[in-house]
Amino acid sequence: MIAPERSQEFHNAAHVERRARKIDDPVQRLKYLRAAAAITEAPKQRTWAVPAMAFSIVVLVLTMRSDAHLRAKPEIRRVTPTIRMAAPEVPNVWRVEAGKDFEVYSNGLRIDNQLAVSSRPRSYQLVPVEEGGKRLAGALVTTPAGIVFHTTESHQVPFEAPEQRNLQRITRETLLFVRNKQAYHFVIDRFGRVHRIVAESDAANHAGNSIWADAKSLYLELNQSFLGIAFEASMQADQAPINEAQIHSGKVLTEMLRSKYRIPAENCVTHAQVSVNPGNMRIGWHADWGKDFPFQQMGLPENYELPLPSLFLLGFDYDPVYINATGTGIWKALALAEERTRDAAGAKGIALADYQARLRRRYRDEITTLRYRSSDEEN
Amino acid sequence: MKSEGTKGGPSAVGLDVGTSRIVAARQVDQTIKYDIQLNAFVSIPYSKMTENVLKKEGVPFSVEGSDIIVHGNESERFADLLKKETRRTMARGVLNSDEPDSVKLIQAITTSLAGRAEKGQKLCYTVPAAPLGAEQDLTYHDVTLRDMLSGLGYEAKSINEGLAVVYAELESTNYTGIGISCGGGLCNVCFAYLSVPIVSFSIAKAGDFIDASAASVMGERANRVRILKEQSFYLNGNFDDKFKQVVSVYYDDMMQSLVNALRNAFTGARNMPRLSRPIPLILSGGTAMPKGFRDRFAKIMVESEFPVEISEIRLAADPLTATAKGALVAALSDM
Repeated sequence: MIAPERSQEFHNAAHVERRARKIDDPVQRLKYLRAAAAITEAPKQRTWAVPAMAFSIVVLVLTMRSDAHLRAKPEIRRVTPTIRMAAPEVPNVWRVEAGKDFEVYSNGLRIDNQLAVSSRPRSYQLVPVEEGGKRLAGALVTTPAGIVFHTTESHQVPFEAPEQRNLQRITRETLLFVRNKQAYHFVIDRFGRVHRIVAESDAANHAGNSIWADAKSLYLELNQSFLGIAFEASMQADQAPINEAQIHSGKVLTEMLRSKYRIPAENCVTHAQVSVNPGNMRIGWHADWGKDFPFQQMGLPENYELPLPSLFLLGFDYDPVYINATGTGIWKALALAEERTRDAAGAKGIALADYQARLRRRYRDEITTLRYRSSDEEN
Repeated sequence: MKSEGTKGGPSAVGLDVGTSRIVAARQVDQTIKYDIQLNAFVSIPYSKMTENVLKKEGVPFSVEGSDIIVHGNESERFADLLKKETRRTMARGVLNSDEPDSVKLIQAITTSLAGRAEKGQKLCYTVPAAPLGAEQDLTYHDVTLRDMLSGLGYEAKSINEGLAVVYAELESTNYTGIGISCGGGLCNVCFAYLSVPIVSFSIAKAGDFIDASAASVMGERANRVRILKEQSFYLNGNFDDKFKQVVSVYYDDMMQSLVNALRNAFTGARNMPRLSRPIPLILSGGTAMPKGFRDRFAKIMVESEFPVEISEIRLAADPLTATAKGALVAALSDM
């Protein structure tokens, strides 16, 4: 309704307003606006291609602290800058012991291998993040580039001693289902036990239509390129999705995988951040871990705030359902991605809608190439 | 209101800590429940019989030395019966430095309204903006309230009163517009743009100013003026009744001061977003409740040549609870 013509602080206000209007719930709308306001005041960051920048996004957080200190002279309320910290260094983790059905690692991680299965070998081609960037002809990668965190969304009973038998039964059934579907590489059950399902060297069916990018490469259909870790949990439950034991196991497992494959922190993300629906060109086909994922307790930076490559590299959009299923961290990421898209369109002198259409064409071209290569390999 | 706060967690609380009243807002199912108490007290000489009567009547009180302190809604009735002035825990929007037990009494009133917190329960409480022309330091007021509420177990944060009005009433404009809370000690103003406060200030002319000024002219107790004002006063500019005429004069004075301050603030504001459409203005608070207040205020605004185009001037749906509702919305949005 009220759109400034041009203002340094609110130059994307019309867009933010349109988005906000799609949110019916007044509290959710306010959350969105406050998150967007925080991003609007963040300094622009124009060079996504510089690796260090990915860890130094300056996010200005609009806090709910008192504004009682606004003085008689009217003034713009300033927000407090917080520096996005780089992730703590990954400790060197090595395998200490391996038995027939288990492995033990130097950081205390224990993996149960009883349900491990093979799938199809991992193999994918690196796509340069820049459109038209030079590809290394024929170079196929067989090591994982990242991790996607999931919830199993399986049946949940209260995590209490009287439910012991039910808890174990449900865990067993969930693990067998996951194994049958070759759905994830690892499942962390409600007792914090780590189960290997699909071999690390193979692809698992965990991410389907999905997109991520780091400083150099664009990743499509992350089944091939990313490992999938699922927590036996549900985002629909009334309590926190995972418990302390699961958080600890998630941390040591993430440490081991990052140490083993040199996975950058920015490539450790949740399913809600990567999932897309090419049918309507919107993100968030799956929205597990759209909020509340304890990145910091996993030894990772707050990756929710990384702008979504599906938006600014490939022209995807989002809807109110996605807003409702996600939290303020991702909302900041959406705002950053939109700002980046606008900047890129402006730099190329193209109308925003035309630029987004061009990005969507790129997605279709890339996905066609990827699928052509896959079918070629199968033949 | 659809949001239900944190899954399975305790419900959030919005607390309007005003000079005249303390209002608690809490979400129950899909509606908001309000509880209101006067932010006032009266002291009565201690006697065992009085104590027993108060206990029997269920009147909230505490014993302080040789006095019985009756606080909250009942204080007004007792003050009227005893022909005494109620005493205030707050003056001009902040803690009353003349009343050393003010924090203790606010805590007692808050406890009777909101109770002690459950683990992790969030509470957002209102604080005024700095008054124009009296740039007092509000840090003490804010921090003292926060410490008091933390002592009750709440995760407490403060919000400007005017901004709370915006959060309560201006969802339809994406929380863009002017919120004004006309309370007892202060009139608080906030202009917010897309939920972000741009201009905030207060003026020290509000309900208490009207009551005290009218009382001095009429030789009446200010407390008595307030009761009469709230029971029967309306603004239409034509009175035979002296009481109404006097109160009307001071209402006019307050509104003129408020509109002048608004015009000056907007005229002098730096970095104001350029607005392509008019913005709404919401009036709330007990002092804005008399019939005719909105019309009189709108007339003064029109005459003031206000620099920003206003789309509408309206009263909040419930002027007495709008600020507490906005504080609740802020608390929920912080979950």
